[in-house]
Amino acid sequence: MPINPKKSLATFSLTSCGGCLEVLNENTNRYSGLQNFYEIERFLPNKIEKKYDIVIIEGHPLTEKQIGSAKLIRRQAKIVVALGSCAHIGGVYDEMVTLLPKEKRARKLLSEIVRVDYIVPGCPPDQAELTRCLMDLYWGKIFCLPDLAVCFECRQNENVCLIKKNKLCLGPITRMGCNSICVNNGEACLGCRGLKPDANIRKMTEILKPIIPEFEAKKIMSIFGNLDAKQ
Amino acid sequence: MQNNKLIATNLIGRPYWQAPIMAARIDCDNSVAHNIAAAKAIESACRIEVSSQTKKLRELILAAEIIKNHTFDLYFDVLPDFLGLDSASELSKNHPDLYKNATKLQKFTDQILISVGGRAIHPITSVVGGFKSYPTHLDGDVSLQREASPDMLAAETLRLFSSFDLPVSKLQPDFAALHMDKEYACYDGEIWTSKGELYTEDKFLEFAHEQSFPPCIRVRDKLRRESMKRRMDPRASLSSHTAEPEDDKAIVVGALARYNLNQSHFDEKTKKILSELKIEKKIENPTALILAKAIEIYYFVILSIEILSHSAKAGIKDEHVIPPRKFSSGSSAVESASGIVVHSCELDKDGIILKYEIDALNNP
Ligand code: SF4
Ligand code: SF4
Ligand code: SF4
Repeated sequence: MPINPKKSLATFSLTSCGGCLEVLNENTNRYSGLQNFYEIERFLPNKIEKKYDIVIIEGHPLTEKQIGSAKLIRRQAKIVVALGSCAHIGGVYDEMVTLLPKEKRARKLLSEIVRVDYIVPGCPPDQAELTRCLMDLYWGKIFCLPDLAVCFECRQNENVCLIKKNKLCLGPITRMGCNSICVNNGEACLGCRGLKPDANIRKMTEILKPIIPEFEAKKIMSIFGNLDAKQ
Repeated sequence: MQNNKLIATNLIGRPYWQAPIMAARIDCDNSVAHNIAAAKAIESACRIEVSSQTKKLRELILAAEIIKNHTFDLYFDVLPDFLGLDSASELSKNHPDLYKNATKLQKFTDQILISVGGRAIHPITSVVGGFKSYPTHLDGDVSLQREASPDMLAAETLRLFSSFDLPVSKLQPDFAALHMDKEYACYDGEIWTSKGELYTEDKFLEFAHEQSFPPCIRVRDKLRRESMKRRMDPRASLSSHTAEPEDDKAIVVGALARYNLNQSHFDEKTKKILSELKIEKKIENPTALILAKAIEIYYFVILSIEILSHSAKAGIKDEHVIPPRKFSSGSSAVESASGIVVHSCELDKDGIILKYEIDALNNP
């Protein structure tokens, strides 16, 4: 049992499939482990003002009501964690606006509406990474995401490189941390964790040119939202 | 806008192969059903005939998703009410044995989803034309979970839920489900209704547009009220209550509809346990959805074990994903835990999605 008292943690869903919060509950052992450190509940926007140490938000803010809820959460939470691609870069519910400058986008990302303190990326996110984030925050540490590309993990996993086989893959520009799970399972990395720092989209587009038409490359970079969103 | 409409809109202008990836993200509880329905609609538009191995593996992950959902509903939503508890965590404290049944069944299904689909939520491998990679040691992967005897757990679940008195409803709804000549249809088939209507693939959309699926009986709400009543008066019995019909024109889809329309295709083991427990062949009471889910948990566990054993004997081949032969339009319908999902698409000559429609039919 921890020496420190439990912290309060609330969860809230914007437009989403519910998968990110399912990841939180997925492994019953890990979830009950977290309950030793946190009082976990759903954030209820209508409830009288209650302050939380942490609020985890999943989903993309699409409606005015959701934007209002996000702002309310920001006021009531010491720390806001954006969980999953939808909350991070818009996800599958974002419009096909990738690579458009910010001002031309019809809808805003969560981080453009409220200040987001931490991101646990992915669609779905990785449960071990989410647990690490929550434990770091519990102990007052700064949670950091890895800076390298998915290719790093992919090579460690000894996968045959898809690009070398003339197949598409966004691994070179995508932030690692998922253990290259898609490539391990025969699929390309489609960038659900967002860009790694200093990712070179132009170079990636060049690499993809002989593999797929440029138009299709753009459609791939927008499956999980705005790949070029600020991290 | 609902999630299915948002994803359908977002699919327009995208290459055909992105449909199953994005559709899986409509609803994490039915991600396999939407993933497979999207793959099938596109395959129909691309004139792709997938292999029998692909069909079997898709059936397996669909069965796993249905077991997982039913188990969650029955043990964590319905059972606490029957037992007069407030939540699933009270169930874990007061009835750890029952709680463990649920978690073991969920581990069994998760292991199937991970081995075949690559992940417990949102399958990675299942794509248009087949699978990106194959679980060559499928039975071995799932063997640890099989040691927990999921068939025994499923039988115990069915015995438990068939022992409860359910609120009786006067409602006599119509039912609709996928139907096949020789199988308990989930992955394939035509839509049948208890009124005798038949909808083939070209009419799936018509079915989705014509019929309405209003809530018939909110079983859980009834049980909750009942359980409150019982807590105040422990002598009150659930069966003394008659649930009022909420819509007598309701068309019911999901587990109860499948049971009523397709039970003749159950395997011998399922038939045996149903006759042992004296479960009626026709269950019209919509509150008996709970019982139908428990029956399906048993049936789908037996089906999963059979597919796993067969794959252990025959082995799993490493097949290629089948490429499109042409691009036109197509539709599909797949059963999900709570109803039927219908996908329909139109592609241009380069395989770009021109139109896409997704209907998730269930009784809310
Ligand atoms: S990020 Fe993915 S898993 Fe999470 S809510 Fe969005 S679609 Fe679902
Ligand atoms: S397959 Fe993709 S992730 Fe792996 S090394 Fe090649 S480009 Fe990188
Ligand atoms: S491999 Fe790429 S698409 Fe797959 S989980 Fe990792 S970051 Fe996401």
